[in-house]
Amino acid sequence: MLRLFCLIVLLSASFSVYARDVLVESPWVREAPPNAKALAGYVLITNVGKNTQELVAVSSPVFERVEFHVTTFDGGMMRMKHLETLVLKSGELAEFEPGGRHLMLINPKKKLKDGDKVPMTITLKNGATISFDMQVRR
Amino acid sequence: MFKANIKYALVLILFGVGLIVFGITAMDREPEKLKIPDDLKGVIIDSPPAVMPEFSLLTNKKQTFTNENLKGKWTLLFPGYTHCPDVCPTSLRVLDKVSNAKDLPENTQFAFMTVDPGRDTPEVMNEFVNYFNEKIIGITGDKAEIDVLAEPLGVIYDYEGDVASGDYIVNHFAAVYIFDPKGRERAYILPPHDVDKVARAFKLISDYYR
Repeated sequence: MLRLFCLIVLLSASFSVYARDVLVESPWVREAPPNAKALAGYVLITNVGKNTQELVAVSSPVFERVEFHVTTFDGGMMRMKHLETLVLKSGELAEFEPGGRHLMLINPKKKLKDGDKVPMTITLKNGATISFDMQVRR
Repeated sequence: MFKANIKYALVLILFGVGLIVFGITAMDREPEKLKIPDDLKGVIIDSPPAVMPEFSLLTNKKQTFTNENLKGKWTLLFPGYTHCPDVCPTSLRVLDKVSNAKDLPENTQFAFMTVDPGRDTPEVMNEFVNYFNEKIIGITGDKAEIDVLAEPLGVIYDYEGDVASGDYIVNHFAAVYIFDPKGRERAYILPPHDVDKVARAFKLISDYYR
């Protein structure tokens, strides 16, 4: 009982969403200028299961399209690359953080501002889905 | 006696002219290159500073922006594009915060120059820069004119995706450029950018090359 209580506290404290073997933590979207055509979402995704997982799709009803992207720096050259899928081995953590991996949120269907919530769904190769809300922050 | 005075006067005049010539050349002489502390990574000094070719661009307020607009003040310029969701907002937020930092030259301007003028019209630029800080000047214009400034700065960029439909990414050199009050490129700071790094580098550079 205490363990369950601790788990609940832990989960609610970190705003994490636990679905099957993939743990999603600290999801947020960077607020952008009102007419921005592309926004970036950040999140920590951990494979807490025993098997390798492949994240094959991501979508949101608030955006026309969502993609996994990675920003790389080669000297001062900034490149963005579209990642088709994301493979996570057992225990592996994928950090989506400013200046690195991010969810590329394309063509918002409504204006989003600080405090708004963006529903997001990630689909795994095995067909399972993980849904969670990302909070818009400045 | 009179002749001797003329001689003295001539010597004095020559000496004076020599002093003035020496003074002018000394003023124009490039000081020893500023040494950047080891813990300040990715700050590159141009010594001597790079003179920019003549360019004519357009601000977010639809005013022309030329070499003259770089003169009489320090300028921090970041190249990018408004469809950039990850790196450009981070660097613009940094410029915004640096503009409020203490101990920096008062006559400093901040600019964001697009390398994607096809989508970044003055109106689009206006909304984008004003969101971060109304003091930041958004710069756009003809692609050829942007290249006039981008090339000597080494701002290489390319488009990836479907340019015709407007669905594309722009890969670009993402340094913060520092121009001196003579409008010359004095330094650049490689990404990633944070407020402390940019403010410290700018203070060192503007103090040294004042």
